[in-house]
Amino acid sequence: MIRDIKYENMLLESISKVEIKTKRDYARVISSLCALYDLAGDETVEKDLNKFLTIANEDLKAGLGDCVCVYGLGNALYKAYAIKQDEELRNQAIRIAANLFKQDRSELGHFVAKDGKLTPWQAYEIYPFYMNYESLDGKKEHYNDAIAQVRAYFNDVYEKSDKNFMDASTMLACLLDTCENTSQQLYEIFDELRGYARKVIADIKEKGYSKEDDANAANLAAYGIYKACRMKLVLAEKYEEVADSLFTKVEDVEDTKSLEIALISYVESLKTRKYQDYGRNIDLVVND
Amino acid sequence: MELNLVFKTGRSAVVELTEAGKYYSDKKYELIVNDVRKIETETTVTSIYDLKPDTDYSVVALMEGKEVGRVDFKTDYEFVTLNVIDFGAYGDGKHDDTNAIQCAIMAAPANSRVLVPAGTYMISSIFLKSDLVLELAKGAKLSAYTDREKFPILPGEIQSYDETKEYNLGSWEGNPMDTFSAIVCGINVSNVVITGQGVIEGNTNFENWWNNCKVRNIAWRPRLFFINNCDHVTMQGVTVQNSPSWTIHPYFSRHLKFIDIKIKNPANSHNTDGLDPESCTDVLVLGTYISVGDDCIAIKSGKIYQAKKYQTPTSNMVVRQCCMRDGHGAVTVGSEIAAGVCDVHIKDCLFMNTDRGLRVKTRRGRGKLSVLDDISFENIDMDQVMTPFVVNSFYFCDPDGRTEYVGTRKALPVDDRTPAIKRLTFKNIDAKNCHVAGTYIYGLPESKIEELTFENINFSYAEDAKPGVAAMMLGCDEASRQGLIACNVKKLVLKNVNIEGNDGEAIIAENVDEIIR
Repeated sequence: MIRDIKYENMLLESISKVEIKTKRDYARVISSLCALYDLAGDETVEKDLNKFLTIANEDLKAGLGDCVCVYGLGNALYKAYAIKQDEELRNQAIRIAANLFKQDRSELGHFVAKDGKLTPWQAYEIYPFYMNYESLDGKKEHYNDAIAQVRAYFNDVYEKSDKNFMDASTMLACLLDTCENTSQQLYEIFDELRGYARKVIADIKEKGYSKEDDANAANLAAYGIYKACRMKLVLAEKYEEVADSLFTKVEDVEDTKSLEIALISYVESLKTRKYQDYGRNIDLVVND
Repeated sequence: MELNLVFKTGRSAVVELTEAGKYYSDKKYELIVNDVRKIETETTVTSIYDLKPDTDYSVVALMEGKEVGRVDFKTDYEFVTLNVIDFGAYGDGKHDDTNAIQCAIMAAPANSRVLVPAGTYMISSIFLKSDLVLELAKGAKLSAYTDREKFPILPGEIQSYDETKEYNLGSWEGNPMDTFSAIVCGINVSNVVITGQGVIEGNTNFENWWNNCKVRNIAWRPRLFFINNCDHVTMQGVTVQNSPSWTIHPYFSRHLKFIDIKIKNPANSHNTDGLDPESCTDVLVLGTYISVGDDCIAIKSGKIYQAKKYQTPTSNMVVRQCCMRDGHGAVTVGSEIAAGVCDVHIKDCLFMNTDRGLRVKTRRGRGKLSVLDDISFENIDMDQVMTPFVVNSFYFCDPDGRTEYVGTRKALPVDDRTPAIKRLTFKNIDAKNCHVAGTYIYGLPESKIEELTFENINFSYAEDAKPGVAAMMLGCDEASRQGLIACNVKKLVLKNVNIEGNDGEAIIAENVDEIIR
């Protein structure tokens, strides 16, 4: 794993330059910092993380609101909990999760926002969180509902869309993060998510998208494909180079969305894909 | 009575004295080998060791001085013996002998045996190969390390290069998941015999593999013996004990025999099922003693993903002359039976001190491929079995186990998720000292059990009958001395069913379409 400290510092510095005022912004910043902290455990990253957790917590005291983005924040809090083991973070996530059961749904049963639709980014905010909540605190009682919703959304929204680059990349990130939060003990659900992820990767390949088309979309797609390689959902031997061709180190970020995409794709690009680590954190010695 | 040869190698033979009892012979008897050697035995199935290869033998059974059976046979040809000590094994309980034993196994030519002589051999995982006879001599112990970092891992699934298939190696509770390889492991091998008076010792306790055992730690816990996609594998005579998880787990394998095995795990150990054939066919379990901390024999065929992908039930299985004791169920079918179980026959067995005799666990959501058919129990003696027969179609397992969908007693529409139970037969059963109920059978209202036959059945209760919950389903309360309860059955046949000492009605039949007496 060869870090680019200069690149990391550039991205960290841009946190102070972009606008951060909504729950969505907090979710993106916290998720980004969690990803970077998980990589190397830097103290400066932890400081920033603590700062934004405090800000987000204060914001949540005023109420959860009715934006789907609050679920992205819930998922970010779960990620922070995994690092810090602070039960208050988990409790906040659980409080947010209670809203899931009041969230509006389409006729087909998948969640929708106030306007009766669910954009891919909103799907990315809600489904990984729903599955994470069910796995950690919901006793998996609504796994069947979660996969039924993803199935409905995938077939009725994604498959019928024009599958533009950003939408496809976002759908992929949604599926991968949801899959990562799914217990393999319900393997048929894990397999179904895996099938959808493979389909989206095939779509991105088929359409021949490149980083020149849209750097943000390319990095988000790279994130998803790198992750799919790491999780052994697709063969790293075949797909790593696809991700490599899409991944790019950006020169600057204009908002929290591009910040998050830049950071999570960078972190994922560094993780081990060639073999399954099983959490042993082994470091192969390479003899040249 | 007759004395039959049931199995032989170059160095051993197994004989069965028929009509002489159930696992234990009604009377002690002697086996006289070639008019010279005398073996005293009190089991109906007996192994004879220390024979010579390619030699004629005549074995006579004498009971109270009279000949009751005779069998003649010739032992198998043997080319060479590979003694693991010659390959560098120490057998001193200190050195890691895994490599030395593995070397001997890999070097063994056909028609030979790998011999593990008396001694304690520390091992992690050893892997079988085709055309192998592995003998554990009397006093030999394969003693497993419990340090998980010593064990290889079997990945659950590996995608094929053309991305059309998956290659499945590891398995955990019916799903293809990353699992530590077993202490003795066979992958894609055939013609294997593991024989002898020796022991395979898992060394498991609550400080190692059973500690925090519901959580995956690197990979899922190893079995003691696991074979995947193997055929013609026989295990005879050995003792296997203190397993990290399921003890003997044959998986997608065929033509298997488990003869005169002793399977022992503590009664309070976790998930230490005795013998769990999963998606296997042609399985014989004969003369085997099982005392474990979970189900003694648990017949399985995977969960939904595996069932849909491979559609391989467990079928053509016979369990005879066995003693099952102390576990949760003597013979359990389920709960991972998404691909079905059929043609399974349990005969001439002894069940002692188990929670249940036959236990069928299924539920809505197992899927339409989950069909149980032609399962019979005949000539069984039970003593101190809490509830002899339980069929539970509302088993509250898995994350949605306690939802309305799984637990409702109202008929739901039959769909792709609905399992089916067809024919179950119970004949010549004598169950003494029952506690909770004689029989507690619940089919699904929308998919009733097709035919349930009870013929020549005797249930009686312990004087101090303890209350308990007959089945793990919502709405099943603690009770004792219940009779025969059958619900949601199309045809119920009751011939010569005697129930003595029950509280309340002897027979309760609810939502049963036809009763034949």
